[in-house]
Amino acid sequence: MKKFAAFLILAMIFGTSTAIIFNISSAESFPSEGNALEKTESALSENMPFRKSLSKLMDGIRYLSGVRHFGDIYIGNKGSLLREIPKPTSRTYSAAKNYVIGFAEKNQIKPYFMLVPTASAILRHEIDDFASEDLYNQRSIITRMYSEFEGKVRTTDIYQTLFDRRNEYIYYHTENLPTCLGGYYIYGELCSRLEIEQNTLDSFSVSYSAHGFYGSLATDFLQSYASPDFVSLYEYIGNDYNVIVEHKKADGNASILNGLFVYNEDAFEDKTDMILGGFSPVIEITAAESLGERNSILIFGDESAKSWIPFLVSNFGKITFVDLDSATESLLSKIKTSDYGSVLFAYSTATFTEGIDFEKLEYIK
Amino acid sequence: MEISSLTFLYIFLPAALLLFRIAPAKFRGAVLAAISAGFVLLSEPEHFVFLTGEIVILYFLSEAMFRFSENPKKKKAIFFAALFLNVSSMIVFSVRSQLEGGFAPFAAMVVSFTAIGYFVDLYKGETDPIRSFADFAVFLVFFGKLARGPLIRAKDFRELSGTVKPDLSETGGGIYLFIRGLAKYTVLSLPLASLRESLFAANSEEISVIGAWLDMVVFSMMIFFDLSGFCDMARGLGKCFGIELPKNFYFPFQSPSVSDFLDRFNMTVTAFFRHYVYDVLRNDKNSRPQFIVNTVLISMLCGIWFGIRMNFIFWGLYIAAFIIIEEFFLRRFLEKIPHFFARIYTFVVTMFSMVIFSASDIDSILISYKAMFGIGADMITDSVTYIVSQNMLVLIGGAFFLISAFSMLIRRISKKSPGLFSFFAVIESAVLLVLITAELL
Repeated sequence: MKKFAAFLILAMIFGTSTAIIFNISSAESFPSEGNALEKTESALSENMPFRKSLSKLMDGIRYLSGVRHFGDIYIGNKGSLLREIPKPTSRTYSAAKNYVIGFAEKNQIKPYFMLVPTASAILRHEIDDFASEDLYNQRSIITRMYSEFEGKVRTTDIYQTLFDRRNEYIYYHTENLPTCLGGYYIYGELCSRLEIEQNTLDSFSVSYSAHGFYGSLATDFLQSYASPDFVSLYEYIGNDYNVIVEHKKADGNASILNGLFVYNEDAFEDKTDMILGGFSPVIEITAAESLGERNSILIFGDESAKSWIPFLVSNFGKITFVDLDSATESLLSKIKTSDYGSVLFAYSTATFTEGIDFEKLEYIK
Repeated sequence: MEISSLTFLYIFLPAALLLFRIAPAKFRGAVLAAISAGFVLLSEPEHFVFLTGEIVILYFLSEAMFRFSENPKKKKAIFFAALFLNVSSMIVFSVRSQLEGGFAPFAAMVVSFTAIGYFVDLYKGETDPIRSFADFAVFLVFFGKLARGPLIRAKDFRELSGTVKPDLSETGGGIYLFIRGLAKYTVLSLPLASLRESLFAANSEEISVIGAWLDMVVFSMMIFFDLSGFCDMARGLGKCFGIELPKNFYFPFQSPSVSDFLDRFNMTVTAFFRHYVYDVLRNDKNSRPQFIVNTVLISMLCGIWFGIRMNFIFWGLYIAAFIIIEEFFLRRFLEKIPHFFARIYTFVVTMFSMVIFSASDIDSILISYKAMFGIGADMITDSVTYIVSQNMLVLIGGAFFLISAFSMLIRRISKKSPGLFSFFAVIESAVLLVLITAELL
């Protein structure tokens, strides 16, 4: 080999090495997890020159070679990013069954339960037929969970309803959440199960915002293959009523929002936070006109509730929403079940299979 | 620390090269020994003390053998002590790794086999003792060859032994070879391993004809790029530090006979067993039964090199069976037919052997063979179709680099036009380095 060529090859190694060491020395922090070698390997990886471009290049090569599955995310052929959910264990079902039934019996309250399928189930037609074989069957998760309750809990099956409307914009392309339109269809099924009157879609004024945003599923590389999203905000126009949304934080602080939505899209990095002004461990929503005990509902759920809670507000005077994962003992101990006519457990299948902190129900008296 | 890690590529290797080059000539062997010790300490700290102790003991045994070279009784006793130490160390490491569910303890195997070869040569007077402790340590545990070999004999090692300073061209050429080996491992073998994992899962649920065939081909490619990639890395690193290491693989899947396959697949190991076992057992009569016994023994040992497991022993027996059939029935036929058909025959036979090589038990071997011939299996399942569609590039790349066409082209360019080769080597190194780094992130 010619000397100059040999010099260039050696320069590549030594040059990259020097650049990494320079980057590490000027980095703010050094990785803290693992042993010394693992920390060094992580530091080298994090401080590699052109790191993002290199990752993008590798993913691009994989994409060109036919790969549509990156980590737990599939790229749908209509621009949706579909996140696979983890497999549930037997304990997932038994925990949900025991805690939900136990909670209802202990507090003498009518229990309702709903599992909301994620886009990877409803929009699986957007993935290559063979790829969808790999996806976990969410239909079977829902069916099994509902049958575990043996009629002691009233369940709401929305799978078919959403599936029939799979060609509409019912899921964000780049967030693992239903859109508000999807939320309306969920609300419709809830109404019939809760035996309340469903307000028709034309009872709501709709405004569109945050056009072209990319959600949390769209990493640098995946963004190139995903369709952007927008947020639709449905405001009830059937009655002239005032809604107050109180966010109760884990640190004991609280903030109040007048109305269900924040119409300033720049106020939030996560544009879906325009709905209800974001997500908190406990959110208390009250309509100015008190509609009495029968029309109060306690909801345990996850972020997927952002899509349908605004509709439910048109039927209830008071809704208390609780995220068990982030709620603290002091927040939960202040909730009195006697204030509510019914309790609804509503989770996406993703949250359900990842595991819910049901043990915290013990804190509610 | 693995040799295929960012830490090795961008920290350990540049530091080792710098240290080696600035060291005074007479200390270069010691520096390389210290670098190798550092590598063992970082990569296998739990074996460091044992390996160091083993090398010190072996060095003193080597010195003792030299001192008592005129005393046959003592010489023999020392030889058997060295043999016992190496064989027992191999067995202990191998059994321990089996119990812990690991693969083969390559580093322990490489050290022990190299040492056994050295002591046999020394005992037979085929080599002089390595008197310098640093050289002796480098000979046994040079960090480049610890991962998968190749095996080296003392007579091929001692002329260089880390005391010669390679020039810029040699160092650059070594890095080029190292990068090519690392690319074989990270860009081809690792994705093939992940593809095989998917295929294995799909076949476990429902095995199909194409699924079983594909599993066999993918495993063969994976094992080839893994072993030959590590060997290229070792040879490249050897060049950088003035050690000429032999080739260990030469496109085994395009051999014209199974006998030739064994000479091209892990060739230093085959050569080791040929020299130290086959040649010792062979006598002048060279009868058929003796050929059969020796062939079976050598092939089985070649299998056991990968670990003391039933499937590796069966693999050796399978290869031995075809070598014996070729020797007694097929040799003339294979020599007469066009080379291409002989290669097809070997390709099919050796690929089939990989089903045994990769299996965990006899049942899974039978299930795979049955499925490959359509017994109780559909032609293809949806999962397999999907897996293929997701991995086209790695499959095509694997098939392309499995044969020698590209390598032959490079060799021809390097002979006919060194300037063009140098230019090509720089471009190839840059592209591969980018791909390797991206893959390791």
